[in-house]
Formats: sequence, structure tokens, C-alpha cells
Amino acid sequence: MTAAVVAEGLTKVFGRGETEVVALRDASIAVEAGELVALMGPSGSGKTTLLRAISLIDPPTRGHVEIGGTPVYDDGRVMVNDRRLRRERMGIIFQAYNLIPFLTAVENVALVLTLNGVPLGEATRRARDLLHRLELGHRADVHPATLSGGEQQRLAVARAVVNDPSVILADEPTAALDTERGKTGWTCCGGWGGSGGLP
Amino acid sequence: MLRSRYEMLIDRKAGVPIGSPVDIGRSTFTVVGHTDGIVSNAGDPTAFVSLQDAQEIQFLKANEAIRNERARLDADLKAEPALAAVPAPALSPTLQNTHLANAILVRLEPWADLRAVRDHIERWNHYRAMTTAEQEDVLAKGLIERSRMQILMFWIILLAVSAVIIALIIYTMTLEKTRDIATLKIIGAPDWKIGGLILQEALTLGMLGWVLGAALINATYEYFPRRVAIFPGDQVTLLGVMTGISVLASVMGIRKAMRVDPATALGGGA
Repeated sequence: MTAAVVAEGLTKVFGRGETEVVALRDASIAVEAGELVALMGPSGSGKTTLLRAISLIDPPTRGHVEIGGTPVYDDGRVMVNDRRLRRERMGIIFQAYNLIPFLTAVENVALVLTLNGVPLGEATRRARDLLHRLELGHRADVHPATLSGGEQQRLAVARAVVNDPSVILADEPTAALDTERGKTGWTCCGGWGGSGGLP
Repeated sequence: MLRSRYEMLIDRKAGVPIGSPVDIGRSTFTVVGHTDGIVSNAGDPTAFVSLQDAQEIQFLKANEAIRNERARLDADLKAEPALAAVPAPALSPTLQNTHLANAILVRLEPWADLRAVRDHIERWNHYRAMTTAEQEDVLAKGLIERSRMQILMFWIILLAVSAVIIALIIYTMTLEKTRDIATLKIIGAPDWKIGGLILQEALTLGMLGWVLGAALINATYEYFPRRVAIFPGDQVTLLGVMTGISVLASVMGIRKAMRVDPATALGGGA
């Protein structure tokens, strides 16, 4: 089976000369399809930097990255259109969810589909269906600001998985939630990761 | 007008009610009717009186006007050494000859040869024959064209100010959405899509301004002191110009959006 993510020898250096900071040194990771991996470490240990490097949001200084068997980065050279890669093959869940405040819940989810060329009507139908499965159907037409923390998190999960990506990257997705709600969130992500679909 | 003297028709825009007395020169006229939309080439309301009254207004001046004219003539003569000794009243009759006509209107029979009539008139000294179209051209190229240019200059300045205002609003709105733009970049929105959103904002703003402006001008132009003519073509042109300005005004916001670092959307430590 082809690994979903392979990252080898990733190094990220910020600044130059006296201000140089090595945020990531020779980090490697391989994640199989369907596997759920949690990176744990103290603040400043490079978790977010690794996530940024793998998703090419902020490419590493050195190293090699493959997504689904396709080389996307190799020693200073980004080999694909990074936004297209994230749009088509990745789902990202942010620590603060980063939902678009002027779009409704269903529009936030449908946006990802429309960016991938799905017609608006079809995108809205699929987004609404997913929100129902995540027990957010009754909140589909409200704006994110009116949702509770747990609902916002489930909405962020919906946005990340709606396009059936091969990789989901989550940057401390439960940081803003209490323990109980955090567990629910992980169940949601874990269920998708393990079975290829939501529980 | 029923009487040959001292009655007047005046354009409604002058705001003088029927029956009102109007003092002009040495006479007092009574307004007996209104015209609609008949204005001078400067856009001022026009009044009509009988030919005899008109000549009297032009040549039989009020005492005050005569005194002013004499004083002005006197000053002119004193300034010219060769004529300094000549008293102004002695020259006045010569200089203020009232046996004049400014223009004579000639209406030709359909069979008449315009060119022949014209050539004949122009053979007389100091006469010039002009067709209606040529007169309109003289007026249009003179006063009206200058007025148009003057208004056009104001128009350009106002549009430039509008462009700056729209640009600043769009730029501020873009700054407020920096995090959302970064999020869009992370979830893979291409630059043209993000730029398109900002352009849409600018166009919506411009369109709202145009709708508001068009509604306002259409509701109020009749109350302007001078006649204002608004043609549908002008409004379409303005819509086009407004669209252009909105596109221009969005450039600054789009440039800002393109420079937003996607990493701005990510929180957390290193």
C-alpha cells in the first residue's frame, strides 16, 4: 500500500546569521492510508512547523515530501501547485477553526467543493448531507459565530473531509474545547481516518 | 399674449407666477404665461416679450443704466489723450445709435437656392449669412462646449476622489479579512478566485454608488437653478466609467490580498 504521507529529513530554518533559528531538524515521518497519527510535544517543539511543511503552506528549507506516492517537495523545490494539492488532496483543521464568518455553515462546507469544480447546487446538497451526518443539519443555515465551540469544531471537520481528501492535517483541533467535547471531535476525525468515512 | 405691450411669457424654471409684475428697464411687465424647457444656451430661463418691448428693453435704458454708461464712456475718453477734450454726452448719440438690428431671420421658400441667397447677402458689407445648423454649431462650440468642458473637469475630479474613496474602503475591508484570505489560500482557493471576490466587492460598491447617484440626480435635476439635460446615454456612460473606476479601485486591495501569507491563518507555536 502506498503511504499517504512520507516526509524525510525535513529541516526548517528561520532567519539568517545571528538571527537564525532551526525550528525543525531532520524530521521524518511516514503515515499509511487510514492511519491516525498524533504528534505530541511541548510548545515550540515544531509540531505546527512540520504541519506547515508537509502541507507546503510554508515549505521546509530542506528535505523530501511525498503525498499519496507523488513527490511534492524535494530539497528547496516545490514540485506541484501547492494550493491545488491542498484543495484536491488535503483537508486541514485549524486550531481556531478559521471558518469564514460571512458564509453560513453549509456555505463554508460547500466552498471546498465549489473550489474543486463541483456545481453550486450539487455542492450545497452534499454539504447539507454531511452536516446532517454530523448532527449539524439544523444549524446549516446559520453563520459560524452563532455556533457553539463543539459545533464549530464539527463544522471545521466537515469542511476538511467533505472533498474526501487523502490526508487530513489537524493543528491542535481540540485546543479550544473542554475534554468531553474534544473527545467527540477526535472520534469524528478518527472515524473518518479509520474507515474512509464518517462514523 | 393678448396685448402688444408689457406682457411677458417666461419659462417655468424662473419661478415667477402668472400675474406677477416684472421690472425690466423702464417698463413693468406682467407675466401672462409660462413656457417649459425654453432656456438660453447657458441654461438660464428665457422670457418672451413683443418685438416693440424687446427693442425698448435693449435701447431705451433705465436712468441708472444710462448714468453708468455715460460714466464709463467718460472714463474711456479721459484715458485716450486725443479724445480727452471731447465731452461724453456729445459722443453718446453716435456711439449709442439705436437704429440697429442684431440679426434678421430669413425663412426661405422650399424652392429657393440657399447658396445663392447666402452669397447674395454676404456680398453686402458686414453681413454674414448663417444657416440654423451653423448657428447651433457656433453656440455649441462656444458657450456650451466650454461649459461642458468645465463640468467635465469637475466630473473627472469627483470621479478621481470616488476612486480613491472606493480604493480605501476596499483596502480596509481586505485588511479586515486578512485571516479569511489566508484560510482561503490554505484550503486551496486560487489567486484569481480571491482576487475575484475583492473585485466583486468593489463592483458592488461602485454599483450601489451609481444606483444611488442615478436615483438622486433623476429625482432632483428639475430643481436645479439652471436647466440640466440628462440623456440615457450619459447614465450608461457613467455606469461604464464607474465600473472602470471600481476595477481600478480594487487593484490595491487585490495586491494586498495576493501578499497575504497563508500561514497567517494558522495559530499555535512553532
